[in-house]
Amino acid sequence: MTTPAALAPETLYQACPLEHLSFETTAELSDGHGPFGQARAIEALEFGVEIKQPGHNLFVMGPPGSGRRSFVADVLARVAQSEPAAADWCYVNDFDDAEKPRALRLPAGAGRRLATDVRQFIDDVQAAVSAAFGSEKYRAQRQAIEHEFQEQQAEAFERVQAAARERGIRIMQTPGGMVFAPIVDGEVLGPEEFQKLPAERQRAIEQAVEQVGKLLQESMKDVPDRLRASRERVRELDRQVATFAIERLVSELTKRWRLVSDAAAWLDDLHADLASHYEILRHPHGEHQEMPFQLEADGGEPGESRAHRRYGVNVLVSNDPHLGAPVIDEQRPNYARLLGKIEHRARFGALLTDFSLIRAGALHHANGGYLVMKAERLLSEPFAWSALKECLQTGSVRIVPLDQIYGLVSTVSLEPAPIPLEVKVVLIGTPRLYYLLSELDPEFDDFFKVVAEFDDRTERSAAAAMEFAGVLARVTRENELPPLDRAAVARVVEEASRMVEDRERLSTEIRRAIDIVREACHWARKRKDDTVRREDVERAIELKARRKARLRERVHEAILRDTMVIATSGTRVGQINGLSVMTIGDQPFGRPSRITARVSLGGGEIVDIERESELGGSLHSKGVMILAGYINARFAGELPAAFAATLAFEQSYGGIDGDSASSTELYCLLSALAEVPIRQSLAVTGSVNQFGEVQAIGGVNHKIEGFFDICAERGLSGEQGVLIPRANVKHLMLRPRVIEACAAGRFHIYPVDHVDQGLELLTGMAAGTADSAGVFPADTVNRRVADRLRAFAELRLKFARLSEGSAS
Amino acid sequence: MSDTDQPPVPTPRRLVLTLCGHRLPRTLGALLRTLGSDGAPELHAMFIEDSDLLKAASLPFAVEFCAATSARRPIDRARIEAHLRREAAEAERGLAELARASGIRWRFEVVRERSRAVVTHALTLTDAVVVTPREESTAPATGGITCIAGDDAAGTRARAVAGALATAEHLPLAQWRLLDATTAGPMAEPVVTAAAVPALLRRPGAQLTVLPATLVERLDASMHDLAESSPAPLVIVR
Repeated sequence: MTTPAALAPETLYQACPLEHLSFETTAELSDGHGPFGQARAIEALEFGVEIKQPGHNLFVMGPPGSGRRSFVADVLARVAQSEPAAADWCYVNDFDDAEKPRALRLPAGAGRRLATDVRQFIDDVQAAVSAAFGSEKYRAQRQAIEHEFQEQQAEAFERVQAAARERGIRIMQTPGGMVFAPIVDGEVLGPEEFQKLPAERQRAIEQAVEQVGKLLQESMKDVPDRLRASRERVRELDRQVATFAIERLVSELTKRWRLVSDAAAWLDDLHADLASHYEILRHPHGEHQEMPFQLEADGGEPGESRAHRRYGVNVLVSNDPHLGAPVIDEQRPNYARLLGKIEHRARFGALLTDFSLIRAGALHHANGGYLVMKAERLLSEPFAWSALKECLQTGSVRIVPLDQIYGLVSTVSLEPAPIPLEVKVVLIGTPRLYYLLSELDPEFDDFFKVVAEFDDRTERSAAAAMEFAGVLARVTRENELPPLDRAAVARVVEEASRMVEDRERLSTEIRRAIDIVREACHWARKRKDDTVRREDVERAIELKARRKARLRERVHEAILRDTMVIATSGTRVGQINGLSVMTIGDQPFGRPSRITARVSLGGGEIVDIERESELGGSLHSKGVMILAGYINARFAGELPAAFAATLAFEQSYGGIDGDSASSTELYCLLSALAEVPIRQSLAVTGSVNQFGEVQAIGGVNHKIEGFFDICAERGLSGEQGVLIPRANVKHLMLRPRVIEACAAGRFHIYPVDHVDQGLELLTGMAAGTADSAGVFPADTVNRRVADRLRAFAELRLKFARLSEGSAS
Repeated sequence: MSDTDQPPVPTPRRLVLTLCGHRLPRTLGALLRTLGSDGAPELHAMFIEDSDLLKAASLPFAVEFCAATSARRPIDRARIEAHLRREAAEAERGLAELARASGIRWRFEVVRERSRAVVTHALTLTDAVVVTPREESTAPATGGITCIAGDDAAGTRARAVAGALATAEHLPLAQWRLLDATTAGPMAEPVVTAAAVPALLRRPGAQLTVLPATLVERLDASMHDLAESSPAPLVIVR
């Protein structure tokens, strides 16, 4: 097997060729349309918006920062503009059941007109009724009725009084009624005078009093009936006066709205209701105006008349007929903001409500159009998700206050009539959320049948680079930033590749690229240049990394000060430099780790110290088990595995997982078995399979750079370098300093396909390939390994025999 | 009669108000303003504990008859006296508030006497007495000012007061000419005899009725209690 040569500098970084960018600066470019590199998502989104079928709501999934939300907004705005405006919705009083307000559907823009018309109507009708009841004619008619009754009363009483006078009795008023006093010589008779009268005279007086009492009783017995009849006549008069006053105004109003069915039907009911509630028109603020507190005690706004409260129109949703279908982007989709709510007014300690306090939710506003929400926010709000599903399932929005759902409040509240719902919901979320919902909520797929998936990367090509440049052009224009020249764009494109650690791909997470552009613009302006150059982008990237480098520097400092021991020169048996990536926030960095292996006579077990100390994850353990598989299959042959090995990440105090160090551990173990020293100037990354083939790992750029930084600080010797899986070569997008060092031969990156290649690089000794008999050539690493294993096996056999002898 | 011929409205230094309950006449404020062109007159309130009523309540066979329910029950003088005390206290409070708001001078006394005698006595003290009805109607008074007066000097002054009140309060004025020996010629106003006055007073609807003292003296002796004679307050002008 040939030992691989170090990679040439041009393979370590894929620059963006300037000839791919056919412009001088982004100022020449038209704005890029749509999100970058999301052709499939765009197609799905457009389909999802166009299809008008039940359950065909959209879930737009993709990584944050990929432009999902702004693109959804653009598409919906464009589509909605060409669609008819949605209906207006109003809540009004249901005169038969005030607890169940009635919903009126009106053409777009008509809601406010109806509210204004009705308000004006109430003002007019109040004035008309008030004038009618204040007229001389009415007063006279009413007075006549009342006088008739009072005169009947007075006459009846006068007759009794006359009879009383004839009998020498005076009728006097008391606080509770009347009392009869005998009169003698014009004076009321007192008890003493009465006692002095002869018994016969006393009896006569008592009889007279009794008679007058009876007469009065007789006279009064018809009073209630007469009073009732009089009141009924007054009421009938009032009805006639009120009806006459309002008839023309009602007729005008109903005529104006006769073509709008919901409004016409309600106005008919209003007309009928007015006939029996004209009193509230006559006394707009109640009859007891001297008691101001009572005016507001029924829950209305101060100064608002009772008629306005009873007959007002609550415009829940008002749409402009010229603006197309509504598109609502609900940023805080909690239960109340989604479904609407019923507000209350506090009046003297009581909470009062009526139909005028019903408030629309996002679903009401989006009805007939589109509702956009972030899935994560929706799901984090209690009851919001289930409420949304219920609305989509029933095709209507029903406002039920949360306290009623909880059952915490048992007071009577409103039950507004449900409003028919026709809305397309667009949820925006991460793929993880989508798959979780799909997995855990059996109804989810019924309601969200269309998925528009935003990818986190796209293929890197000349066309993609131009598309990317178009997006940057739009961003700079929208934010009034200076344009980028094509070298600067090329650098941003290259950084987009580095973001996804793939020089053949570009990150679609455009937000991070935009952040770099904004900062580069800052540096360009500081240079007093009206164009952003490549150096500005470089500077922005470098400074951004430096700003967040505190932890990386702390770790590297510990290595450079030998607190954490990492050798970058010399050789040692059973010791190797592994590489790992630490991610803090959005700034990953590579960190070398010392891995050691020790072997001894044993039963074939490889002890993963990380696993034993519960610091290693399951993937790491899997990698270690693969090592055992490789060693046993390649070297043990028919011999029993008679060694024991321990593997450890030295000075590692946190958890370790992943199998990217499995090839490193294998090299270390083979070194220990073969007792062949490993060059400490090299570091290794890569996973390995049971055949010894080295496989790709993640974070290759950061791992290389992490070891490079340590070596560079200590001084590059020309011996140092990193072994990486060959499959990772296409992912290389290294920093310029690393490339420069490689070009100068002071640092090396070796692509490895098989552990044998790695062994040769690490030990400087041939790995050795077994012949047909399974025997490795002499003076090779593998031969030494095989010999050592055989020696362990024989030793173990010897011990076994000795044990058997002593036992027998 | 032209405006220039209008007799002057009397401006007494004191207005006596007789009360049988706590309720003050609705028109009292207007009356004080009308009679007080030179400054509001002092208000002298007399709360009447009707001695005739207390006597009648002490009779062994006395019962109270409730007009609304036609029920009878034994009458209790102590209860009536307690009620009168409460009413008097409340009337005094009401007057105090009115005085505080309008800045008038006032005094208040409780007299246990026959109602008619109190009014007669009051007329010796001042030129204008207001008799508050024992039970002022709670129904809205849709009428205006009623004046029943003859052609004597007191009658002329009564008409002046009624006219001024009606003008000031924008109320209709109903004037009745009292027929007596001096009345002659065709009348522009409806006429009424002294005998028919009690029935006229009992007619409902008026907010205030103005009478000359000379008419009160001629009223039938059966009108023992002027406070019971009319549902509207009476203003008696001397």
